[in-house]
Amino acid sequence: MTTAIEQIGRSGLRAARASQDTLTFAFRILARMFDVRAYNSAVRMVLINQIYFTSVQILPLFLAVAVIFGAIVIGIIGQYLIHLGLFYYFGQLLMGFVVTEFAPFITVLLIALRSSSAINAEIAVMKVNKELNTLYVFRIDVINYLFLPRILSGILSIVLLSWLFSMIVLASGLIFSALLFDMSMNDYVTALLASAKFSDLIVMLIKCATMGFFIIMIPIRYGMRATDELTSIPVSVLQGMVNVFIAIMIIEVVSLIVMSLIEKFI
Amino acid sequence: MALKTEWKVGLFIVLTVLLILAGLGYMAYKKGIFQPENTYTLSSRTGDGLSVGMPLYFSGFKIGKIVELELSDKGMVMIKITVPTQHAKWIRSDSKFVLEKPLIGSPKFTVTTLNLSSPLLSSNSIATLKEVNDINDVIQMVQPILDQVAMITDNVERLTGSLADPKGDMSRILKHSGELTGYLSSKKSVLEMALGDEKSVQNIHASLQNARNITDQVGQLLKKTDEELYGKDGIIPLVIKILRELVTNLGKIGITLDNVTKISSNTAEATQDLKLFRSEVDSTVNSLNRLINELDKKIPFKSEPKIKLP
Repeated sequence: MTTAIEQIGRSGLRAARASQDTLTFAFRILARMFDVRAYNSAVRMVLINQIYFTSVQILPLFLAVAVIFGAIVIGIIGQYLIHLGLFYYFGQLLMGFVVTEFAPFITVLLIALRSSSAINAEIAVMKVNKELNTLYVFRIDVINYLFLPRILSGILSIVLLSWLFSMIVLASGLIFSALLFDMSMNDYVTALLASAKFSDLIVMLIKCATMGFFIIMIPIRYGMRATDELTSIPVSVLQGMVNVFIAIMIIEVVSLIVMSLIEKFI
Repeated sequence: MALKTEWKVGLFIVLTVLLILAGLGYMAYKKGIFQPENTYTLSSRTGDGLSVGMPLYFSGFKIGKIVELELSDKGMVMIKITVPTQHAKWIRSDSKFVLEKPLIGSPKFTVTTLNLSSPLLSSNSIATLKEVNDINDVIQMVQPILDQVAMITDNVERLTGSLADPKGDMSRILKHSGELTGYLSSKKSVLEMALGDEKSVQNIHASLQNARNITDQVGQLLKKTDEELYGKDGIIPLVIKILRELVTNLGKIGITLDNVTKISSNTAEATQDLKLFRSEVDSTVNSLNRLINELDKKIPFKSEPKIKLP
């Protein structure tokens, strides 16, 4: 019994310590992010490459997913609303669910599956191969050179791709609502505009940026935890990805709370 | 390769940002963010049901919103509303601002304008916000009914109290009813129940027997009377016979009367002749009188009249 309680306490302390380490690391990265001296030509080059790998390379797949998912989601939502006699809320559901929730979630999921895991593995391999030590020896700041461009790329990619996803879903929604529900373009746009709120879009923007920050920072953090053994690489990737999903869920919940508070008080 | 990557990334960022800005710009334009707005001030007794951002409706269309709520020095709630210039034409000096508080649902802030030719509402003037409160109206309507219900409840309570009271009227009635039904149930017949005395019932039976005897006697009497009246030698046939004879005699009397009538008419005619004869006699007598008078004047056969003295 005592051992079990000790085990729980040990796990709790470990989790608290890990969270503290992660947050401390996050603050270090954030502090560096607003330091203009950090952005030298090498960093800019890495940043461009990272944006290319994270956003541009994924674009064809991303656009296809956006069109397919958008059509499916709008079709299902529209059908349900018609069955329930609530088609009046079609615009609200598109803006409230598809744009502010669904689009960021799918984008984050795609980026996390593709880029976060890759970055986690990359950092872990660098750690195992002692490349990070080499950078230390040559007095190259790993935060500036390795981490900052990747995290900035993650933030930028999630924000831009989420908005792009929303635009594509709404555009495909226009076509599919005309085909499936005989809805005119004017009615569709009016319904969307009536439900669109700038406050929701700002919360969505902040949420995307926060998610972009954490889904790259957490894999970096766990990649750094890899030991000198090659077998530690998959372990660090696994732990990193699990924590990425936990972080996504936490951010989703926090954003929902913030949005409801804004709705209530503003 | 580097140039190509940079170009692709640049193009991606620029196009995506442009797309986002275009979308946001369109949304802002359609929502009237760039449109100039007119600000109006309203006053209200209470700020209950009002909130910043609350939309203002005209004919069911959202034309503005509340942007500020504050208390004046006199304790009145000052409401600042903004209305895009394109919708300012609906707000006139005689427009009515109403806060509708329905029984169910959230309050609705509306403006109604009956005369669209009235001058536009000035931004400096302070219009009054009227409150339409369905809940209070309903309570006001329901209050008399509730009072009556309270009275009825009071009466019912009093009645039930009276019913429950062992010394109350109802208990006494029930007790008496119980005694009465018990008393009635001990009787042999309904008549005994009604009279309450067996001797009286026997008397009634005896009376009924007497009445039956009397009825029998009356029946016999009537039978005898019938025979005397309508029998062969009864009174009625005799009367009929007499009446027939009387009718015959009356016929004879009728003839006699006809004769009498004729005689009387003849007598009337004779009377006429007598009248004529009499008139002739009267004229003759008159003539003789005149003659005698004449003679009397001319021949003095009479002695002189003597005057008798006293």
